[in-house]
Amino acid sequence: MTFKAFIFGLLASFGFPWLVAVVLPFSKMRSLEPIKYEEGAAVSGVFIPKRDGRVTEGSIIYGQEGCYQCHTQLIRPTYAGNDVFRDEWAGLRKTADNADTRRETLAMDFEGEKVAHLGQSRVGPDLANLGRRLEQNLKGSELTPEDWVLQHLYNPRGVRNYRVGSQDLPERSSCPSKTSLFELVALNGAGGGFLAVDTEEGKGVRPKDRARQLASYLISLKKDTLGQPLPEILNHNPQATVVE
Amino acid sequence: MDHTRDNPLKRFTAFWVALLLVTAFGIACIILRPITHARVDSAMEAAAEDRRALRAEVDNAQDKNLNQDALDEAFQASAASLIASKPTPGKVAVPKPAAKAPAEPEPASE
Amino acid sequence: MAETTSTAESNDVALRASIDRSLRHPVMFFFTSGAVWLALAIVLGLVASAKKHSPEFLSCFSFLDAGRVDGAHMSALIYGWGAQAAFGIIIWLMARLSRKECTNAGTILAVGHLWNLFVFIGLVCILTGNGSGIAYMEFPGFIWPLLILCYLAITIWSLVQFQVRDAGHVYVSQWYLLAGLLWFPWIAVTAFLFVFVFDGHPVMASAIAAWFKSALFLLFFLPTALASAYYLAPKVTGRPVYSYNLALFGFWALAFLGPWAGMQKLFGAPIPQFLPYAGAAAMVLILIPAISVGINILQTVYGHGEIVAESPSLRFTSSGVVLFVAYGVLSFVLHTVPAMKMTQFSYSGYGLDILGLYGVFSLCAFGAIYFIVPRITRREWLSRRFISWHFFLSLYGVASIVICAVVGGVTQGQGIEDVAQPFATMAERASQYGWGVTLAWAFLLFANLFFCLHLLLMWARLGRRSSHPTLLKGHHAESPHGPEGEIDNIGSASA
Repeated sequence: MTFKAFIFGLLASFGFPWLVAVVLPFSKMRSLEPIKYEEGAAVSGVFIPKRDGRVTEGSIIYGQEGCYQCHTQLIRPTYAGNDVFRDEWAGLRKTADNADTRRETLAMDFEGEKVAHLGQSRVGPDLANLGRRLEQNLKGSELTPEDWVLQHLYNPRGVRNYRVGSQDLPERSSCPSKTSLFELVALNGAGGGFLAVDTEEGKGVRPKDRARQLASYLISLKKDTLGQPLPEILNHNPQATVVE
Repeated sequence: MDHTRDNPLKRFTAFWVALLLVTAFGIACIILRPITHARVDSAMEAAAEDRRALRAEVDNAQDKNLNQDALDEAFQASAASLIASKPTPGKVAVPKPAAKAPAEPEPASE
Repeated sequence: MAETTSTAESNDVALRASIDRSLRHPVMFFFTSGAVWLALAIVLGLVASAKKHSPEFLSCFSFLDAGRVDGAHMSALIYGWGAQAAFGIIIWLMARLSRKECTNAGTILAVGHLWNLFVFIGLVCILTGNGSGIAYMEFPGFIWPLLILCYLAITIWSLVQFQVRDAGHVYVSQWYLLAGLLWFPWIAVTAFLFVFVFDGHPVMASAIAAWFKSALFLLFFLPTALASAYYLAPKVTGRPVYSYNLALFGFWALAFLGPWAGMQKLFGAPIPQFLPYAGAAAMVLILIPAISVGINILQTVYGHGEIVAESPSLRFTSSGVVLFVAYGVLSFVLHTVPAMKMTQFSYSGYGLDILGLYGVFSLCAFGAIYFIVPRITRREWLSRRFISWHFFLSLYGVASIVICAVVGGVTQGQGIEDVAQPFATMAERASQYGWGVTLAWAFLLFANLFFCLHLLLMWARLGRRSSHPTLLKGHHAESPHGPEGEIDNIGSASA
């Protein structure tokens, strides 16, 4: 084996996978075909999963705080896991009020983020549908999803008013308190925006801008794309979409 | 054993060969950039097509209804009247009020 | 005839001694600073693991947030310890095998300091919440080009040395070194450009980061460890490598499989579907190079059980090679499709990573360090007991981490797949294994306090002045290392 043959072997054995597994998929993923609604659908034009919230900034903070270490944002197709069937992970089941919005994660779900936080491990629950799940579970409570998320970020073991018997929140959450996202300020003349948590006399806990961005991002995670119907090609459960 | 392989020239060449080798795929990334970054029609742009069509329709209709000659004529007329009403130097249209110093604040009572 | 041989031999000894002298400062610097980073990485690992089951642990320090600590822990382990240990091994081994003195020790030493500085800045950024937020590439974007430039300034001289080597046989270790030296910049530059610079799809960015992490182990740390194993096993036992063809096969098997692996982490994610399958297939097939390397090295030391037991470097190296076979088997089991469904988002991936980074790479690196340091400091290791403790605690710790993480991961995965069970039940059940992992990191912490202290003493030139290497058993009446004498005159290298 001469030096030249060796180097050539290295270049070839690395170069082929490099091209096929990195470069070409990269350019393919950049130019995904837009998905159009079929003729005769209730909506016309191109399907874009819409999100409201501070997605781009919030996504960066989500990464910097390392949330992806314990939470995933991936509803796998059934060949890869049972995520679709877990309550409220992949969307909402069909009830009297809403259609079945459960679906797998699409490449378009990450529109506006620099990197998709698919996650490392499920120490905590999947967050792909967190926003809608909270809305559903906080119905009738005085907490808004944003309040709940902020209180959870401040003290995950102190949040109440989550639906009793929910599958997601263990008795004792092992989520860390992200206290660095909050500031303790004197209540006197400090304006509003305080969390409803107990703290020192005369002081209040107020979320910093980072916490608000992160909370806004977290409640933007919804699998039903703000009520838009799915195009036929993405809908794996076509009968279920009919709302009576 | 061949001891002549090591000399400054050989080392110099070897350095550049090594540099070329280690940066090979970095260079390849940059060479392939036009291919990996080919212009693509994103979903957003595809969704904008309807919007653009509507916009074009409105623009066309407006263009059609715009009477350029009448517009030019009107501009000419108003321009002429503006030139005619040129202000005379030295004459002030609106008198300027004389500057007035604000009143001294009352000293705070102890 | 005998006289010519002895002249040639003494020339050889002189050459080896001058090579060792020429690069003693950078090599010692990389090893000692690496060992300090390792201790820090283990402390961070302990904290990170503890926070998974006891979230209030150290919660008064907001910079030690769970999440941030996880990233800091892996980054310190990989770039603080792993990379620097690898640099030390690469530059020493390449100089020895190419039989060329190092002429750039000053540059390497200076750039080595910069490397440490950039790793430090990167870690501070991660802990203060200013990292990149990309899994496996947590350092902020500006750190990566700096680290890549440092890498080039540290290792390019080894490539030059190889090119100007005296003509002759190219040894197995050199293939691995050469390949590792080239693979690292190839994967690092590609990953940096595609993740941080080029404007691509967010899912692809995370796929390429996963590919980078996997390639970093398979194509940089693993080749370095195997280069050292292929050097030490024959050197210490005084036997040739068992089979040249098997070595060739093992090398090219790794070269062909390694670059495909990594994207199995995105199984079920919206990327071209063949990518996770290709990654999983490559990880399954890693068993092939693992077995061929395992057979080759273990057959080389086979029948020399006594030397393996006595020599610290051979003992660590052989254990590393055995654990590489274990890595192959575990990787095979964990990456079959039914297992992937369960273990994709569980602790088991972490178990496999630690088995690779600590079990395979670090044990081989410890072996190399126990061999190299006495040669460059011209002092022998101080304490047999320290080495022994380091060995047993390391082995025990790494085995506990891997077993707890893999078993816990499977439990966790089963719980997630069983949709009839509430998620909380699974989380409670899996966190019990977290305790095991935390305890195991504590063992590794003790192991590395012994190692770090011992190495720092050697660095301070407080080692024993003796021609007898420190062995793990008492001296025999006839030492295999010949009679006592000045260390300079030792012909055959062993220990």
